Amino acid sequence: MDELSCPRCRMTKYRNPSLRLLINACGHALCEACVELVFTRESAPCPDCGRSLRRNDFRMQLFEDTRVDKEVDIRKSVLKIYNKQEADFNSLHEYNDYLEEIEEIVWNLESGKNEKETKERIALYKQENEAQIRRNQVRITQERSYFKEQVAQEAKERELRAQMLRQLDKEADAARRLGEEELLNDLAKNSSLSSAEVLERHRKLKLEEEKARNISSLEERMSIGGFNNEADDVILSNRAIPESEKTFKHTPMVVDITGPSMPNRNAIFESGYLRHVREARLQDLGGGYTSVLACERALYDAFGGLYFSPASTAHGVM
Amino acid sequence: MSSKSSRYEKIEFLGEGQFATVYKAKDTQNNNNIVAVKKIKLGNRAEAKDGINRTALREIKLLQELHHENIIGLFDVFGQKSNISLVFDFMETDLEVIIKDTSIVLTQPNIKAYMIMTLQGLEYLHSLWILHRDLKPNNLLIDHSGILKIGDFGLAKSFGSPSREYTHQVVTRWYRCPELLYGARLYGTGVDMWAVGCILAELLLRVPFLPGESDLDQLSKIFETLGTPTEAEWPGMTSLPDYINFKPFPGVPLNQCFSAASDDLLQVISGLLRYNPVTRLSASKVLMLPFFSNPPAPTPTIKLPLPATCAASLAKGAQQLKAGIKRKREKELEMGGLAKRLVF
Repeated sequence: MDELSCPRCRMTKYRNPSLRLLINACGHALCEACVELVFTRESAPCPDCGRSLRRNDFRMQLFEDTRVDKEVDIRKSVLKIYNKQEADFNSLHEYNDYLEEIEEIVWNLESGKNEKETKERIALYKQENEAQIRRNQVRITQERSYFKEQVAQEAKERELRAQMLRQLDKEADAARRLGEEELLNDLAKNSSLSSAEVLERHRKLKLEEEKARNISSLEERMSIGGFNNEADDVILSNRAIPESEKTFKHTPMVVDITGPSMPNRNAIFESGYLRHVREARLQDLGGGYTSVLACERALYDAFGGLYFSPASTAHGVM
Repeated sequence: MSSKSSRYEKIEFLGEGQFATVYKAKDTQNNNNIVAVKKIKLGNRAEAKDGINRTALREIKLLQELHHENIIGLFDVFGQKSNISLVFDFMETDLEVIIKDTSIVLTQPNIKAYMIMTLQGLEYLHSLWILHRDLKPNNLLIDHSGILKIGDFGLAKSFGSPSREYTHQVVTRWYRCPELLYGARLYGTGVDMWAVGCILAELLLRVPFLPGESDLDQLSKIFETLGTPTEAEWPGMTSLPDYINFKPFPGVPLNQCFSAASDDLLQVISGLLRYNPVTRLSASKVLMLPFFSNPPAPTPTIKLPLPATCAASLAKGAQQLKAGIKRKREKELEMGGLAKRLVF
């Protein structure tokens, strides 16, 4: 078996058992220590092929052959863009062509043949189908989360069913013990009746009880079966938008300035307040600054806090 | 002070930004409530010379006085050695995560609910003369019960003063409005409202609406989509400092961009994405539009979708968190061991 070693520092698995090789997009491996050394900044060129890599893209090498790792990476990134599904095509033939195209791209990228052309092709495809790619992405994640939900739901159900069965077993156990006790008591008390008669009576009672229990447990089991539908309903109702909520009504904010009330906009215009403010230049107007704004601000500063008294602070601060 | 830093017990590392690291922590003096502790980085020498980091100062200054259901709550600020930490509500996730999680289906009532919460928070901010200046899905935080709160006030500033000019290099590019891209130095609530428009579009499309690659590309993306504005449509446009003439694009009708949107929803979008910032609708005006009062009603916050990871962590609770930390530590130990061997 050939030794696992880092191509840069030649450290081998034998000399350093904790050696771990990391791999990046170009498919060349580096040991952890070398990654630390080479990638003191966010990105640096790969020592093997000079392709610039980002430090965050390093991950554990999963396969012995680095080419497999590289292909997995490439496939993942290509499939992120080429994420159409069979339903998106009119015929199976078209879908197969599409799959073949993906394989071709993956092969091109992996082998490095026509790499540039292929990349351009991907970029073009991405640009052309941007909206659909995003839609599909959303759909895929939704499907995944729905699937997860379903699995969790099923696990919960199984758990519940097992619990129910345990409970039933326990009850049956307790009932049997109770019956035996009663039988013994009866045998002790009813000395007038023969023991055979007492036994016969108890057997009858027991049979009846068992029948009743079977029926009730059957009913329970039915209800467990029904649980499934109920759960689905819960999921559905969670998804639907409840209509009954109150609509929003805005009440404009009133600022308590603890001072005399401010003149409104008309008064500012008419009573000549604006004469005392530098008139906004055209340039200021373009920036969204008006004389009225400056005037209001000045008035706010002048009026605010005039009625302030220390006594009001007790509740005024909060 | 020292008692304050020991009051919050770190649970988990949450993330790191340009100015701060954020931890999940529990407040040992208040029912072990879960909070988020944002530890401000000291920054380089030049920044540290000013004293406290500017974004932190903005956050502390503004958030201490803001109390609204849809604004992130700042509970506490404490210093420890040369560090300063802010204690916030712990927020489970943010709108960006929800938009990007393709397993979540966002229905119209969901979107309505998110927009209402955002706009109400914004109405409150604007009525107190504060601009957020960095609205994006990433900064709209969502807590475990689905309530949306506006967060990250590192760029927020009060507005309306005629003498003070502001920088136009604010707002993440994709959500930046045309007047900022043209270099306006005096601006108003329009900058936030445009961003809300872009966020609404993103909620509908599930991809950024106008993802420009540079400031110039951003402008051309806007004009290609909404049509090139004219001086009549937007008075003062040509006198903005960085104005450049674009070739006139006809634009795409909104109902083609958002083929699934109803008419009242399109009305909201067109109100928010108006070129003239003076006539662009304010938060209060948008909330008055029929879209919000028409049925279907907005989803109650508790029924809003949460990403699967959040739901799981909520269910499993603290136990898993502990396990997570342990695992991380083990990993660190392993790495440490490896590094040592190399030094030898």
